[in-house]
Amino acid sequence: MQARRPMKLSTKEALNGYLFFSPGLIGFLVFMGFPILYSLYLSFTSYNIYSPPKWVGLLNYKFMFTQDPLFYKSLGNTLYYVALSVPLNTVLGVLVAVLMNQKAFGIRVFRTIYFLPSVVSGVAVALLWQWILDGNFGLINTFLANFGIVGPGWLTDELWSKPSMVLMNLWAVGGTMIIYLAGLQGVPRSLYEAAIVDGAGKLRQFWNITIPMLTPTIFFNVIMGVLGGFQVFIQAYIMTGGGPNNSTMFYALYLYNKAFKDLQMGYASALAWVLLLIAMALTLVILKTSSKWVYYEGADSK
Amino acid sequence: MTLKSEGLFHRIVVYTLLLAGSAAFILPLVWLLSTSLKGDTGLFEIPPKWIPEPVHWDNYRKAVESFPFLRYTWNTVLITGLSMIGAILSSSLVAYAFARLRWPGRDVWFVLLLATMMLPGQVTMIPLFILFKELGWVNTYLPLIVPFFFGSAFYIFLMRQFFMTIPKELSEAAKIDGCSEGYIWWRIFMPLSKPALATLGIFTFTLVWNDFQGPLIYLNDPDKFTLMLGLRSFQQQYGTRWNVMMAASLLVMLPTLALFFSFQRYFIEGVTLTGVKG
Amino acid sequence: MKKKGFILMLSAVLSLSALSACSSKNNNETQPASQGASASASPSASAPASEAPNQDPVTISYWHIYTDGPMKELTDQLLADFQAKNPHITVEQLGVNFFDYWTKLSTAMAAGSGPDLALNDTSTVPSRAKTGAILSTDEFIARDGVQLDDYFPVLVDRMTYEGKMYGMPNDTDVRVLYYNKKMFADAGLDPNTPPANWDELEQYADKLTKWNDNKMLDVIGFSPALGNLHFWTLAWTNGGDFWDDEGKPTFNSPQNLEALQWEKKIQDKYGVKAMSAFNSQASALGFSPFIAGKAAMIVDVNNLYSEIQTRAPDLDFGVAPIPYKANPASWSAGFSLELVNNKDDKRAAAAWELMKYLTSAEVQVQIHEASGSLVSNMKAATDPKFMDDPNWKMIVDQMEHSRFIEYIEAMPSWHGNLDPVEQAVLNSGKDPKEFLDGAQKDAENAVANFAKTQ
Repeated sequence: MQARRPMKLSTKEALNGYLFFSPGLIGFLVFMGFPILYSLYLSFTSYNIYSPPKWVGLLNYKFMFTQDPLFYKSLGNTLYYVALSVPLNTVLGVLVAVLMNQKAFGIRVFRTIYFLPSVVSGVAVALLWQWILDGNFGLINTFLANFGIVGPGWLTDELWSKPSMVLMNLWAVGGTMIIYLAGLQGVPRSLYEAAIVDGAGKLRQFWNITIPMLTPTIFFNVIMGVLGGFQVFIQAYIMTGGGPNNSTMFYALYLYNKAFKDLQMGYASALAWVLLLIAMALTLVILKTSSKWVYYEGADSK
Repeated sequence: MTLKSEGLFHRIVVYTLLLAGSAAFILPLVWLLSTSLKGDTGLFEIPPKWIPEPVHWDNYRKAVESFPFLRYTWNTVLITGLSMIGAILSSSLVAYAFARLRWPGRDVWFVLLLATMMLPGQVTMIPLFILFKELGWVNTYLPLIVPFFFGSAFYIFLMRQFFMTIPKELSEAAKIDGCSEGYIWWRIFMPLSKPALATLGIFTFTLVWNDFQGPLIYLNDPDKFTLMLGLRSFQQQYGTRWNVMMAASLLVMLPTLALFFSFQRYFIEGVTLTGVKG
Repeated sequence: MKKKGFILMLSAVLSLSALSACSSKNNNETQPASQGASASASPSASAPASEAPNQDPVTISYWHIYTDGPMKELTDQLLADFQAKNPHITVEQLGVNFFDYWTKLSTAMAAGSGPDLALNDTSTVPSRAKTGAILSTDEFIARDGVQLDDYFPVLVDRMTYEGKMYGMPNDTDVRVLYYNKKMFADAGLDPNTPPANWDELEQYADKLTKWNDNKMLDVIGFSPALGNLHFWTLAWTNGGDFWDDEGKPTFNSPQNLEALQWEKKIQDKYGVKAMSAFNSQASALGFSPFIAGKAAMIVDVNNLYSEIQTRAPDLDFGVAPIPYKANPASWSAGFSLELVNNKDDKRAAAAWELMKYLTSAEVQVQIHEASGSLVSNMKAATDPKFMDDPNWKMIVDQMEHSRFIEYIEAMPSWHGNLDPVEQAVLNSGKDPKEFLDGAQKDAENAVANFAKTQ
């Protein structure tokens, strides 16, 4: 191809390429590259914005790993959340997607209803759920009262605060559902037809065809879910402020508080870099195994 | 068991599940609507009534009067609108470079860009705050809008995937006719990419419309506040007015819902096509 | 044709710069004022603002936490009154949700876009004074003859840094013992003799606690885990201290350890199982277990008093000093009004006028009436019409013994580290000594780390 073209044309195309890419390049350098490096620098300093950053070497990291109980608490809370939320989200996401993939009357309407909660988000949803989870007058506890069950103070009880947020997150499972639905629709019909010929029942089909074919999507979603879990912020910030007794002090919230409440920008940057390393490790896992899921995606678009 | 009866049984199961699931997903929103129409005493009735008696429409008036609702709505619309323009233009421009142009370093940049999709926002939050502070941008909309004019990895990826599905012959023919790349991008690719653009637009809309942290950090002048900051003012240390707050929440959700319903065909199609959601 | 797209982008960028132009307009408005600032500062110094109607107009911003309810209405009204009295001053107020306020304020101040007058946390005044984020009010106080003796001494003391006063105290709180008189009478105790010391507190609590048949708690006599006591307050009543005069931590001093052990002894009478069941019920209440008649005695802040009056006006209860062992003590925290250093003398002078107004006895009486808070101006807080109420008098009297958290630069929120220690000991049965030693170690580390950052 290239040999056939005059040199001038390909140079022009390259120039055009850079021209079109330039917003992305600037964005990458200014909003990604610079902040990442500057944040690395800050993580070795003590910085409260008022006075210039002061180099303290590894002090922030040393404090974080050896002396800061809240670091471990927030990390633990986050892992708890991820460990509960990601599997539930995945299982429910796949099951709902299978349900949405049925040929049923009005299935489009159902898809819309299931997907709807994942569209609304932010403060309004957090406030709504705070009310739903209210210990006295909330939807859940007044519903439980019908069966004579006295529900706990969901957000005010240390034991229940994290599961409550997982539950709230499940409400928006439509977001993952739609991705699995896309994955399901990419599974060739011929596979199922062959299975039916072999006499396989619905359950066997699901287990032997659907799940294996979805594995790459599930895998990708799990990684993104874990990464998303590390960034859970708004629910905790709005509904509990990290309480009770720091039981919903998630990593992102702790980082935010350190940076903007306590103005410990240096220490917060160190926290951010640890988060970055966790994200990089997860990315590496994706890249190492990317041949699998990229292959299927390529196959899909054909 | 005959095939037919299995089919019937199957159907009953499917519809039962579909309906039960729908109830679970829709009830919180109904509860929101119901609460927003309750009086101050009806709010704390046990068992709660789903249909309030009497209906308190004035909660909506109270909600709108509690803070400068119109002003905040306009501010939010402005920020959201400009961000959407920025995201759509810049991301599709960059995506075109990745999808249709050959230039040295393209593949390396693409991998780098994909990698930034995994970058947690918390990492860049602090340096960007310092940068915007040094630029004197604190208490302006610039920190909230400008980044959208420089593309973001996920949007670029989404647009590139879509552009790749557009037949090569189309652009080749236009090139032979002597059209510039800009023309091809704007006049051929953009009109063909409506589902992807709608998806991108809605993503940006929900992201910016619902953004709380950004306005919280950067906006200090009450005249510049957004709806999300306004919503937060209902939440009190003691004595939150739940009914009025729910009315305000519903009002704030409405544009998102309206947008979703009018573009949902494009939207679900767009997501399904790329197979990825942020 | 390529250009078309870029024109679109360009126009978008232009509209952005129009936006920034719009936002800098505000600055322009205030700029002329700042130019004449140094010149006008001295004339205004000789004459109080209210008597000089011909002054240049000035716009100031005031940030606070009153976003809804009676305090919002009062603030609106007070600002309207103030502007009527000071026609040359325009106040732009911003009420921010209590939970967001502290972050918002510190971030904005650090970015140089803070308000001219800010409601802030009294206990961290020294940190802002040291960085130059806020202005000393000494000159204004001297000029206008404001009597600092009118304010609670502990508050004035807390707002003094290196001999200078930074801002004015707005309001505070104090912890007291609330006890249910009816339950006292039912248990054969004298409703007019609340416990005065730890031993009595323990004996009374034993008599007041009610168990049901399921070995669960119906009523708790007294639990240090309920209400708003906090370990350091109790340690103070035992003569304990957490920092010595040289700024070294003394977290695990014998007095402190004794206080924590005593708390554990009281709490262990209920047991983890019954207590967690009780807590789970209490947390679902959404209000204090004392109001619900689930706790016979509780240590809590004065806000509980207002809450009782609105939620349970018929509750027969009394207020008493926190029972002590070595010496009476209580804990206070509070809000201050501060002049943010925006490098504009004229706005600072106008902000001072508003500060002076808001902390005047006449206004503080209204603040107390609207919020029930313990205002900093003693003339207002001890106004005869409030002091007729013996409970209120008892609350105000506790200010005599009340302390603030020491401001430790190396560890500004040191007390925050003690709550988890207390909870571990009370709720999970951990060893007091081991956990106090751990807290001591953390504090020593914090001091050592801080030294390295200096």
